[in-house]
Amino acid sequence: MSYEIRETDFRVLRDFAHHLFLLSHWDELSECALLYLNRLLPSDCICWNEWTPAFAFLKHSQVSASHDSTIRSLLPALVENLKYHPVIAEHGWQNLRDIPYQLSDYIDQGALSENPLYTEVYRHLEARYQLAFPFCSTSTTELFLILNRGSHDFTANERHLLKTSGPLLASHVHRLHRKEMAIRKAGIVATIMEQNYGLLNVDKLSLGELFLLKELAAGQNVSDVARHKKVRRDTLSRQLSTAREKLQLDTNKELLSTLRAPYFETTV
Amino acid sequence: MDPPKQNAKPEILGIPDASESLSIETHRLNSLFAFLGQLGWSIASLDSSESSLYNLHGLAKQDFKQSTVGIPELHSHLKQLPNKVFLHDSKQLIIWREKAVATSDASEPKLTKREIQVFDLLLAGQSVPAIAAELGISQRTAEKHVQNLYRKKGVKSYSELLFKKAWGL
Repeated sequence: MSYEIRETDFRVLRDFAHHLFLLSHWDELSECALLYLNRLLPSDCICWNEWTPAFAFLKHSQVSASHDSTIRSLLPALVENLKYHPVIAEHGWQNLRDIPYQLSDYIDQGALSENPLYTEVYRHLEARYQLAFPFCSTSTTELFLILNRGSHDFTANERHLLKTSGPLLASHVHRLHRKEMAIRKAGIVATIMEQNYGLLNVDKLSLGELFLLKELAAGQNVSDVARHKKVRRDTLSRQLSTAREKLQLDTNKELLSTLRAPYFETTV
Repeated sequence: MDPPKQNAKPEILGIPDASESLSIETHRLNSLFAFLGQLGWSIASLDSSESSLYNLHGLAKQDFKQSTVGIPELHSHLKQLPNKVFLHDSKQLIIWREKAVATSDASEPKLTKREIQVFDLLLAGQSVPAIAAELGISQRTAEKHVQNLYRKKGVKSYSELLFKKAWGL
């Protein structure tokens, strides 16, 4: 089934995509998403929720500025009563798909008023009508977008529009998550190298410097590497000096000897 | 202009898919893993988008003969290694190696007592003048010991002595 995107919505989506490309930190994602989703699908309250895998713990929650102060006091009740969410009650956390779920497909307005999640949380967020969208998950985070309205429900076209924005947003979630994890893991490797090899600042080395050290650790000398890479020996020698300075070592011999495996015992 | 269809992907909107681009941080991490691998370590790094899959680097790539592995396969592999040493062990990142003893090639000429002392000091990163001072011998004698050591080990450079011969990597 196809649906049409209005010219104005297409422009918002395009601007949203361009803005996402400019983001360089994970923390910037939620604000950008709330800004453009509110332009695309004007809502009374939009929530961006980051859960740990299997939805065990709510790590971070951001809502539209108008409800920012309200949500802080509601978070404990939200976590406690989430099991009463009609969509979750029907499908279970594990079986949710990356599609927008419309609350009105699962519960009528009369029953919603009796729902503990509504009485404790949603009523304060004007969440009579809702689109709940588990649009993406990473190795550390399950991401949920919740769009709420108090007076009228979302149309089928709006639901499709939200679904269209999902992959757009998800690709940048993955990009920034991968970047964040890479920085974190590089930090772990740097700590390991410092503790086990006595090598400082390994994560500060450039890609070229790391390649050179790897080749030296393979038993190559600078001339071999220069010949293989088809660059001047002086260039690599300069690169090695820079690496040595970053690692706070005085001589190449000192550098090479620190790379010896600390868990080998030698017999000669 | 044709309207985008349901499930429109970013590229349909005229924008390349950001998930395909690798950041400099990812390249740096891969280079760090390659470096660690050259030092003899096996690395399993949890995939950033697929939490049941590990990406393999270093010697692990050779052991499994593939670049990714599932969690159960990795854990059963690690269980089977009798003398493993962990450099790091968390859900996100596992770095390990088999504890091994590097031994001399039986066909290699035996080192003299003095050459063994020089070898140890070379491995510790000492320069020839420092070795001479440490052992109370002349620099020329120390150079001769180093020369004989290189000849007996069949190496031409210090890095070759450190990483090829001394550790069998």
